[in-house]
Amino acid sequence: MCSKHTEGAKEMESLVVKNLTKKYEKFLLNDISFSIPKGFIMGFIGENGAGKTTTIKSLLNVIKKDSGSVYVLGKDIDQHEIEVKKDIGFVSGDSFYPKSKLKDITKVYKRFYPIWNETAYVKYIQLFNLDVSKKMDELSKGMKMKYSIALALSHHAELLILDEPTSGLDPVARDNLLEVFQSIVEDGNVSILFSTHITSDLEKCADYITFIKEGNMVESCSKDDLLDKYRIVNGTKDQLDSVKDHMITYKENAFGFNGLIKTDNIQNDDVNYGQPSLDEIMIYYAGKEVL
Amino acid sequence: MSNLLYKELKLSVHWFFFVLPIMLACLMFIPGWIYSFVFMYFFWISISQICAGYTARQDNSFNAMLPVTKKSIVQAKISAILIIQGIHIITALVFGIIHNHLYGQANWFFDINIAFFGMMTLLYAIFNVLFLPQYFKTAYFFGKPVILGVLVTLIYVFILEYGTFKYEFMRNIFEGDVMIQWIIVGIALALSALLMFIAVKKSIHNYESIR
Repeated sequence: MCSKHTEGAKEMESLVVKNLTKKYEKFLLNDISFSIPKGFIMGFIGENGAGKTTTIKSLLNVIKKDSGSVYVLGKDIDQHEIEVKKDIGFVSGDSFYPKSKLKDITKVYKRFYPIWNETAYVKYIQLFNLDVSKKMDELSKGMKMKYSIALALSHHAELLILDEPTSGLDPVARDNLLEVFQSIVEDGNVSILFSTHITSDLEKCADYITFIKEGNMVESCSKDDLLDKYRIVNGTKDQLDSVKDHMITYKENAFGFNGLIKTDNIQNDDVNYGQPSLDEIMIYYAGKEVL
Repeated sequence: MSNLLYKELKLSVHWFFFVLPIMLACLMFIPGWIYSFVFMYFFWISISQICAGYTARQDNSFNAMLPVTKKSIVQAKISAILIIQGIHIITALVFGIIHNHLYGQANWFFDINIAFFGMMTLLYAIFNVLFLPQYFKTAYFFGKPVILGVLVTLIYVFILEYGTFKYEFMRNIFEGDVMIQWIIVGIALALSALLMFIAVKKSIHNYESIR
């Protein structure tokens, strides 16, 4: 793994997750650790069922974790749960109160935050073109997401945790939302943890990537480091034998083979190497057995 | 907790369930009836609808966004339920007093007297101690917990109503001396408080343990 976490680093980070473990009968979220520096966007990627939502719900204490610790802005969530949650804006793809008007939901929501900023709320409502007299189920999925983000930003959340915010959105709405995320982190005070399986979104806006597979950590580091760390390799069938032991996975086809290799393991200069996308890293890892 | 209770009343539980007890209390005007039914409609109509409403309104998704503990979520939900049960008792009490002025107190089954209201408070506490901890094991499945609560409270009401209809010793206890009735109220309220304490403790424990 690329990242290193130390006790001293906790205070400089918006979020530090250490050795988070959650065991179900048929699924194990195993020893998940990562951290987000203040003012950056971290993409949290993995296939469907990899454990992204379980990780997010465990770190927010929505479901009980078996072990591990979570620090938000240097504070342990187990010891300062209410205080810490006031600094977090959690936005999931789930809807709520479909038949209630936005203004009624806001009226309830803002009571939980003593530092609610009505001016900021009105600003974001106008920025996102939201009509507060509409009911939740009259909004498109993208607009619902924007409403949740407006709520989170109006109580000055310093950490936004977004669980699959762009899944189910059309490309225009997704791009629109990604621009919003980038503008939010611009001033350096807000950090975003952004879980998704649509990795192309992260190519556009993420600074860091944490990648999990079947409940296990694969990588957690900056996006550029991650992309530098792997290479797509392709060659003829004759060349396969010389590199296959070093590859993570490979696929054979009529013309030869394609595979993924760690940059450090490159030894044979005869085959072709190329820069992988996040999608390709995820796809090739999908074919690899977890050890 | 007060903010969460406000949320329960404003968003989570439909206002209809706070008005329904007033409408049901009108059944107290039926002459010569089993008046325990007025209270039991809460188990037969309201509670399952309220629980289904939590799911339909995706109440848990909203709770997950809030800076609250699981303990306070349970406390707020139970408080909202107790408010509805309180409306049942108070409106039935008012309409029961009017009933007695109109028709007199004598009834084939349990009279509308002060002991009756003590035993109806205990009825709710029995249901709550059976239903709530089971429901909060998932905060989703309510079928079996409701059936358990309904069956046990039916037996409890059958014993009270049939006993006061059939046996003189029970009439002497529940419909006799007013002083004894007040003692029954005292015992019923103390038992109700104990059962509610257990219900809340176990519900919080079960909800916090949801995996």
